[in-house]
Amino acid sequence: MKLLKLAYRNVWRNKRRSLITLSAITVGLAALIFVWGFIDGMNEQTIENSTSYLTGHIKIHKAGFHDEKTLHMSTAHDLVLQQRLASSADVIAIAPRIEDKAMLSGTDEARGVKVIGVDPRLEPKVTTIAKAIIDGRYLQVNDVNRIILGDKLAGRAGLKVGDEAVLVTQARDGSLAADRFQVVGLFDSGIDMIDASHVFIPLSAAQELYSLWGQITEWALRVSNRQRADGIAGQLRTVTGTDFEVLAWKQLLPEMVQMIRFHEVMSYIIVFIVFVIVTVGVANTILMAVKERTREFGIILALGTSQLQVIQLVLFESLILGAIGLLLGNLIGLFITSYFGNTGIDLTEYTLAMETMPGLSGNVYPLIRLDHVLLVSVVTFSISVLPALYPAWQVSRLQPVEAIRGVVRSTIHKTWRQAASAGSSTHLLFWRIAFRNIWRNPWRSVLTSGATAFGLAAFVFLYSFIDGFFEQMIDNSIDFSTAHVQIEPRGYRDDLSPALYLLQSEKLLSQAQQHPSVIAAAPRIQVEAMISSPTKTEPLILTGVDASLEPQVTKLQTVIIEGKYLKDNDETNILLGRKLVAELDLRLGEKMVVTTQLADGSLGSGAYRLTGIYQTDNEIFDRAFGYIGLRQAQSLLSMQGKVSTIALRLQKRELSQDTAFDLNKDLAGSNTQAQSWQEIMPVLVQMIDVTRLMFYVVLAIVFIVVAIGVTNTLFMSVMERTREFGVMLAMGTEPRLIVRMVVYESIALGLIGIVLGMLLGILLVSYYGAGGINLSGFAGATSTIPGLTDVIYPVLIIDHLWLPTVVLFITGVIAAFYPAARGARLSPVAAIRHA
Amino acid sequence: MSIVCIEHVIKDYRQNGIAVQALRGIDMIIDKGEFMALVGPSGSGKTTLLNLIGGLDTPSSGRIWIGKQEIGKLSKRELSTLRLWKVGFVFQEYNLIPVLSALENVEYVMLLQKIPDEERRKRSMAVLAEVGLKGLEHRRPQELSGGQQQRVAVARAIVSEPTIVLADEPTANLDSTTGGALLDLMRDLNERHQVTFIFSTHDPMVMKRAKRLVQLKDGQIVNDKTKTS
Repeated sequence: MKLLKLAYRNVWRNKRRSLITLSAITVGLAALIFVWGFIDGMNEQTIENSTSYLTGHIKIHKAGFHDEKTLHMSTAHDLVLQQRLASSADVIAIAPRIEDKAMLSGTDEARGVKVIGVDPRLEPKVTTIAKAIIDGRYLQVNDVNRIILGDKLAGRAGLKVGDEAVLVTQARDGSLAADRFQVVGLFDSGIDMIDASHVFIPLSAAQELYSLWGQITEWALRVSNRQRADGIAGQLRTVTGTDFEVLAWKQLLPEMVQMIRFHEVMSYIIVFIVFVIVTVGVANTILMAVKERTREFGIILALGTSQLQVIQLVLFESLILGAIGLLLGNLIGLFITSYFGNTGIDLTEYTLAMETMPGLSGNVYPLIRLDHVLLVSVVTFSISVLPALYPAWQVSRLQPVEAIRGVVRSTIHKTWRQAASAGSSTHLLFWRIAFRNIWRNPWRSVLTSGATAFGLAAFVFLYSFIDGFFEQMIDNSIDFSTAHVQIEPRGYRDDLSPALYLLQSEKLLSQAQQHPSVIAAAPRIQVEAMISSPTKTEPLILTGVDASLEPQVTKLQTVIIEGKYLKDNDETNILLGRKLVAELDLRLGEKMVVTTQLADGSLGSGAYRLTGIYQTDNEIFDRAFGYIGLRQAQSLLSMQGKVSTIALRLQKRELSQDTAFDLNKDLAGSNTQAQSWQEIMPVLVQMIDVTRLMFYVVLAIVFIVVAIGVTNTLFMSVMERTREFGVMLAMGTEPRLIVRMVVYESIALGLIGIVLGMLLGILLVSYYGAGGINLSGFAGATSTIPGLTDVIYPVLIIDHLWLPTVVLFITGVIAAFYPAARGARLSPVAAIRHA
Repeated sequence: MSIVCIEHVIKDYRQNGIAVQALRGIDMIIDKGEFMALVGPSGSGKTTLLNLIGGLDTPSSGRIWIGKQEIGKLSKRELSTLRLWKVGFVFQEYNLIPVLSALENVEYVMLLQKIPDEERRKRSMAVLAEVGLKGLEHRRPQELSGGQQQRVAVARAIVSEPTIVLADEPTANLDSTTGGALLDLMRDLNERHQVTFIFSTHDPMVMKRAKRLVQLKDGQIVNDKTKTS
């Protein structure tokens, strides 16, 4: 107890030092709580919105439906079973549904949509789309051919409340089915994926449309506890028997689960980096605090204190600091997290990027998860106590007499001492003193430079990883789909309408080819369509390409895994991605039907034979696109001789914006525009921006903790040398020279840390840049991101790294001014007396 | 010729919240080339007076002139310059800069004075040889004995040819043989170069060698005796 009291007094004996240590623990802990809360909030929103708007917590299908998703696997709407399920414990609500795909024709053009037939009375008890209606109303029990759709879909299809829309699809019997529906409501869930591609109609209307009288494809359920959905699903299986599959949301949304896992892994990495830096900061302070008091410990030992008691004393001191830091860090971290948890963090500037993640919208609400708060608290507390063990052990082994005399064994290598003994100016002298001071206490310097080096290396590596991630996304998008620059009619990219085409496309093509940056140009037509195999219908972005020019612009021909690429004279061939082929259950050489809406609003369809299958390892490319010859597309769309796009490949990707700008000068006043890939893929650009933003937040935390570490080290260093500064001042050294010397020390420490960090970071990037980092464990997560494959190759882009490195260096130097000023303000008399 | 003139100096300060009057009206004149010692029990004001003479501190009242400069009227920067050019210090605990070699420690003041490389090096080597440290110029303080360190401190104090050298208990940490030798060295420098030395001390060896003894008690001069040789 007495030791504890002594430890408590020791902690407050040097308030400044204790406050610096506390600030390292507090800032680190608060930052960790907040960062983790932010990621947890994002994940929670993703799950909650995805399940509450659309999926429900559990779905029950006929066994095998989840994999096949064909109408042949529908089931009778068994009201007795429905009632038994509804009365099961933990089931709050149950609603029958029909889910399938169709093509929605509005006033403008056709779009592939997901149709959900719902019971207007039961559905709102399971999902919450009814609450997201922004115009008109939700479906009602007596509605017949009424439809509600997302605001984004309505905008693109040119539909508003009161308009008539047509759903065209393949019915259960394989026939082409169509029905007219009156739009009665528009919803805005804030989730792009739902708002741009989902329509809801009454269950009875869906049964009529799909020829599924008396049938449904699934029941959606809301249960009392979403976390326990797996267990509840198991219990429900005893009710349904083996004819049905009962799937909890984790099985229904595997991509989301993997994305959340991916987020979690990223957050563990970030949390780990901050932990290491905080550990070093705290270890440093404790080490210094003990070394500074060598003489005092000698006296304690001489008075008969046992080694164990000395260890206890040092441990108690760090326990006290750790406990206070724990309290403050939790208070601040929880306050900030709960504040933003209520108000939300406005990322609407990055809405497009956020909405690519299912369930996320522009506002993120950080979430406090007690298990995570507890974990970071325990680890932070441990790291603020454990580093004391080493100095405590060292001190306990001191010889009292030597300790009282303040003898500290020199570990400086002789050659270092004799090096740099020449030199003339005061600058050189102070540099020399600064460098030698760094080696005077190697542990302290190693820890400080090590923290800087680790922080920077981690940053270089993670940033290069992210750069690699984005380079791959951009390159793949450009190589397989979007060109560097595309010339298109204004507004065409918004809805891919066949009514929009390029006037004088031949002239535009030859003009574009003459631009010095352009190395290839190819005409295209792109349109939304539905593709039907004998058993299934899927949405498709159909692209008509010139088989001889297109390979000069994109590289799809290099990833054909089966069959062959298109040829100029192909009459009826189509090229599809591996995923879509699997979804449609097609084989090479088999036929399928493509249906689309023509410029005049009528439907056009054509039969094509599968000539080639490509595989890019990215699900979106491999599932959403189909390629036919340009002339075939013109013929299907009644657009003879017309094209909608001229795709350009440039010498370098970086020239895209300048080239688009040049081309637009010639196109001024016309209805045609040239767009760079950045304009064509704003989602990708925003994703890059939002990820960078998050990295800068992490970087800011690293900076703060490193700055505290540097201040701490130099502060300790100044305290340790109080008498030395006193002597220097007594001999006529001006205070500004003392400031200079301390700042030089920080420059030297910073340079060592930055050089080491850069080297380590570059080594890591080179190693993984060659071999790649395999993320196939998160295959679902990566495949939801356009352009991304499973293996990421980190790329070192110096342009992206030099500024943070310089800022880190400057932060360290600025952090030195406080201890430097303290050194300079010392009174020589008091300083010389300092024990 | 007087180089230090002290006129009714009083020095008060607070120690742990308690007001202490360290000097209670000191009047004294020190001439060039003196080899004098301030003696008296602990707390008598020896070190305080030494600090005031060295411009490390300023008096609460009264006046101190070093040459023609009155210390109380100087800014911190001017005090710094005064110390740089006119005062050399030798401390009880040597207080060498541990990361600099003996030679670099001696050169330090001249570096601040911007004395050219060659001259600085020549003078430093010469002074180190004079204090008996030839061959040890490149050793760091922790590689030297206490006596050797104090010799470096003396060399550092005299190398820039200051008007006065202030030595606060310079022999307190040395054995009698080493202390005696160091005092003989300083006495020799005093006689040959006319360097003024002012000691604060309890050491009988210092008192024996000093030409003038000023005895302090409770912040006042109780005896001021110049020996006749």
